[in-house]
Amino acid sequence: MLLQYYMVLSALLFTIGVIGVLVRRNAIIIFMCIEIMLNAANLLFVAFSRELGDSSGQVIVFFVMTVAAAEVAIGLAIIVSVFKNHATVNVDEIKSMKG
Amino acid sequence: MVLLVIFGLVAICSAICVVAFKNPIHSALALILTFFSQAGLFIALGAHFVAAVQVIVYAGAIMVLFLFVIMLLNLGSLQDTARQNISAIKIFVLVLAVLLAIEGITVARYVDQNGGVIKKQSTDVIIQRLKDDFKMSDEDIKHSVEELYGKGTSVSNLTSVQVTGLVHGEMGKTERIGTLLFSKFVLPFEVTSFILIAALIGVISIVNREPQEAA
Repeated sequence: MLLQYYMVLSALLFTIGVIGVLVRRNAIIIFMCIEIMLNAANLLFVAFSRELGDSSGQVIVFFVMTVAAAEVAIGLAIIVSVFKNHATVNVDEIKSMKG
Repeated sequence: MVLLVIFGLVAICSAICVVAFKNPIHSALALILTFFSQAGLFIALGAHFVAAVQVIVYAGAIMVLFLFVIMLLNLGSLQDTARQNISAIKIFVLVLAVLLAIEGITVARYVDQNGGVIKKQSTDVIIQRLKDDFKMSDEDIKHSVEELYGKGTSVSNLTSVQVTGLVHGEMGKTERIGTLLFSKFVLPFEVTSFILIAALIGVISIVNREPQEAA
């Protein structure tokens, strides 16, 4: 019974992250919503790890967090570099590559 | 159970706040609250090491990076030209329905109604697994049983609920995660070091370019 609650909670968090990515126009806030989605997946991993009695789920969460940290570092570097060239982080206004 | 409800509601509310606030710094603070409530959810699930790593890595390093960038770019309250052509409610319902459908099928097919794989096995099998997989000696098992259920509880007379509780307690311990990390998951562990080096090189090479004129 408890597992179903965690699954619903993870699904809710993930959809809130999806809404954030689609609705907001600020690149940094989009990034933060991607982190919400990653956290929802982590929650599901740990919930199933408890359900099945296997600690491998928690080790996988460890790796997901590492990859998320690396991705945030590179993504923010890209955003800063884009800001230097375009003076804005609004994704609607960054369209110099648009054909 | 009560921890799940408290931390779950806080997590959902702060996630909605991340999406809804205009000022990026307010969104970042709401995201920090989300990460802390996520750590609370991990503790409710008995994953203590993962909860600590969550606070250290996410709330301690990633959010600091976000706040530095927000403050360096000096954004302030932007006017988001958002919510123009997108109906958030429709997307929300659609994505949530798809996710819950997938999860419902998973639960119906693969998870036992009595509560999972641990409870289906007998006590002896579980104790043997604790000795083999978790590398616990007899004294370790006896010590953990006494910690959880009081002195004088004999290992062979545990009920299935107590044995499940024992496994849940042993599962989230740091020694267990460390053992797995260097035995079963040693290859991903080494690959992770490459990922971190690649991120480092990528960040330095991106940041060191000269700004070009906007086309």
